[in-house]
Amino acid sequence: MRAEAAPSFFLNDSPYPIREGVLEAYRELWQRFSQPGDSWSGAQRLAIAQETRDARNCDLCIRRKQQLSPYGLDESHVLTETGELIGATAVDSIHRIVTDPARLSRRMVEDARSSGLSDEQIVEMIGVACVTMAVDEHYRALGLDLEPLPEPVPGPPSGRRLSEDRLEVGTAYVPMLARDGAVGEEADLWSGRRTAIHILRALSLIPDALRDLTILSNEQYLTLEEAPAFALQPKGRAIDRLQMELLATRVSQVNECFY
Amino acid sequence: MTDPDQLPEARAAVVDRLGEAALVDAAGVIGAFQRMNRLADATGLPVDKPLAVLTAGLDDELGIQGFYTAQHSKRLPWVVRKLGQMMRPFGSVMMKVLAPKNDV
Repeated sequence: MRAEAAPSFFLNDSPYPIREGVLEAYRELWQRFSQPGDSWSGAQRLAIAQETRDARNCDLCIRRKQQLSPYGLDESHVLTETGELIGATAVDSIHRIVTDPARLSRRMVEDARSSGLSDEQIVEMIGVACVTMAVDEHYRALGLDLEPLPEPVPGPPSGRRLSEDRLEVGTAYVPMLARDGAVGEEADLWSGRRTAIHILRALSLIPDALRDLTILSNEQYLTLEEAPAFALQPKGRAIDRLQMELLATRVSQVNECFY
Repeated sequence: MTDPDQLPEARAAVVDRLGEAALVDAAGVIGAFQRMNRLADATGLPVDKPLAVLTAGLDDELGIQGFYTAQHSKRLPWVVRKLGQMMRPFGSVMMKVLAPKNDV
């Protein structure tokens, strides 16, 4: 695995002024990624992050994207040492998420389940991949080299699972915490609110994955308090809310994201 | 713009017109939505109902019903879509009414 010691100087070489809040959030996320999660070890979580990066240069993904159907090519990824840590189906899912988001379907999740991945593993994998991509895309948009991944912290995943009676099944491809389910140890997840919209609940099967997302969103986009208040300008930002939403819309259009 | 070769010119234009800090924040929002789009579509999220009602018709106007990922969201009945279109001018107020209290 290509990994280096946890960096203490994120974006220090940037020619642009990076807000300290962004730096702190990214440092915290890298540290969290290196730790064992609920269903993947630290080494496996970093393998997910590495595959997220490698997908962009994957020959099979490039050829697959040119096919009429996303499943039109009967070929598999050749696993690297990193890929071996998480298995062929996880690698395939991550590559699809990164390179062909406009054609993601239930089949990706069903294939992952059929290969033996648990719903918790699938959700945690999606969370790590999406957060890695968000940080990397920030760097790429600024023309900066990507931050090296940290060294993994040894240890097994916690195996922590939410009880089934707290979950909502069928709304999305993966189970989510019920709308009013942010109670007890998960009371912080909706930021003190009683309920939450789908995008916030998507990763809630793995509460720490949602916490990763919140750390990231607070700095890259908006806090949970700011998001519904369209008329208010976010504090400490150099662009206004309208400009933020225009950018969001354009990215979503390019990715053909209906949501 | 989706061509990476055009990025240096695009960055320079943003810095020239809005400043370096704006470029940093704009790049952050781009990162956030690269993540948000993939998260929504990898997990098959349907559009939340209050939002679907209030944006009814917009999807047709924007041509996004043809997106493959539109299959994650059930198309609303004609009557509900019409109702949503009529309510659109009052969208910001209706969002507060339709959304559950304390929703985020």
